[in-house]
Amino acid sequence: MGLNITSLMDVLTVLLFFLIKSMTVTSTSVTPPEGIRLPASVSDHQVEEAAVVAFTKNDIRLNHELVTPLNNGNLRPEDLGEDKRTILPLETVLKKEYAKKKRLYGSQASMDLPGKILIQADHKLPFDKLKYLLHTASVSGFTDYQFVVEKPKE
Amino acid sequence: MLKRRAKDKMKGRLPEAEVNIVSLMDILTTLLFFIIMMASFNEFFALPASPLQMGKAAEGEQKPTFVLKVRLESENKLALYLGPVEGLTAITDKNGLKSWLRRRFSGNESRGYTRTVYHKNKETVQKNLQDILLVLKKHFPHESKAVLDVRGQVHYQVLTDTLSSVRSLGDTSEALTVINALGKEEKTRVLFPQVVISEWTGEV
Repeated sequence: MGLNITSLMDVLTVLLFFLIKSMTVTSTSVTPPEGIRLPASVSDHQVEEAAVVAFTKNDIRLNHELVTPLNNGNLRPEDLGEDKRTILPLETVLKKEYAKKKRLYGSQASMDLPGKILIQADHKLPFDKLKYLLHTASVSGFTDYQFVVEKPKE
Repeated sequence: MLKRRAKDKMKGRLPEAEVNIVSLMDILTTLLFFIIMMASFNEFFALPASPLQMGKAAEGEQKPTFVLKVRLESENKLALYLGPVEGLTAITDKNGLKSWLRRRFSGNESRGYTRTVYHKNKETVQKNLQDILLVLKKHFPHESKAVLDVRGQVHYQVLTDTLSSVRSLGDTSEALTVINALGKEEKTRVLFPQVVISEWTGEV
């Protein structure tokens, strides 16, 4: 009894071509961490390759790696600098990231300076908390904010 | 005889071969699972902005500059501030602008104009904001900067909605016709794309 797998092959090949067509291969993954629902926007400005900072309910992450935990969604007092605006652990890692990118971009004269940063936060996050992240990014050299949004669900 | 005929018929044909597609199936399924794991079925986009940078004008620099501030107080309320228009050179239809400002804003040419936009429906607030910005863009087609002052309690969603409204017209709005640097008319949806974000400290 022969097994006819022609239809299965058809399905697999079509699915594969569809996925290859819709997938973009970039080194930047902007899928938000669990617990974040990004704000919806009709903006169609493409996401550019940059460092990704996420402000979740439990922690702050840079490129999906933990930077510092949060205390019930709030910054821990020991994480804030003397100016009460800079998040010290985040500043440390962002400055390293900036230096790394500057070394890379410095060798490529035609490329833009590495001041871009992608920001991911929950749509209900108050600006009172977000401002610390923005200030820290700014003092670390990242002055080109890119707020990551998603298409509104119809 | 029949066997010979069958043999003669067989001579013109290639021998049947079995195609082993096991390895092909392996590759396809592995690739498929890999791509399914890597693929994201959500589309993500970005809204650019920049931070407020402290500084002061060089001494002797008295050139008037275009100042547009949107102060975001809540999802239902925002305030607009347009700096002094006296001396600004890039205005089209000065008289039309001045009479429109007198009708819709409070203030004067030398100190600037303010206006509050309020509505219980947040979408209406954004739409009203865009309508005002559209008129301002028509009169200042070469200006692209705006400041967005945000109050602490404002949610991130409201910030991105307002940022999007300040940067460009929505799809449902008609494109704006402006005269570009070459003197030609062109259609655009861009309003004030260079948005500076700052924290509203309560000052005007």
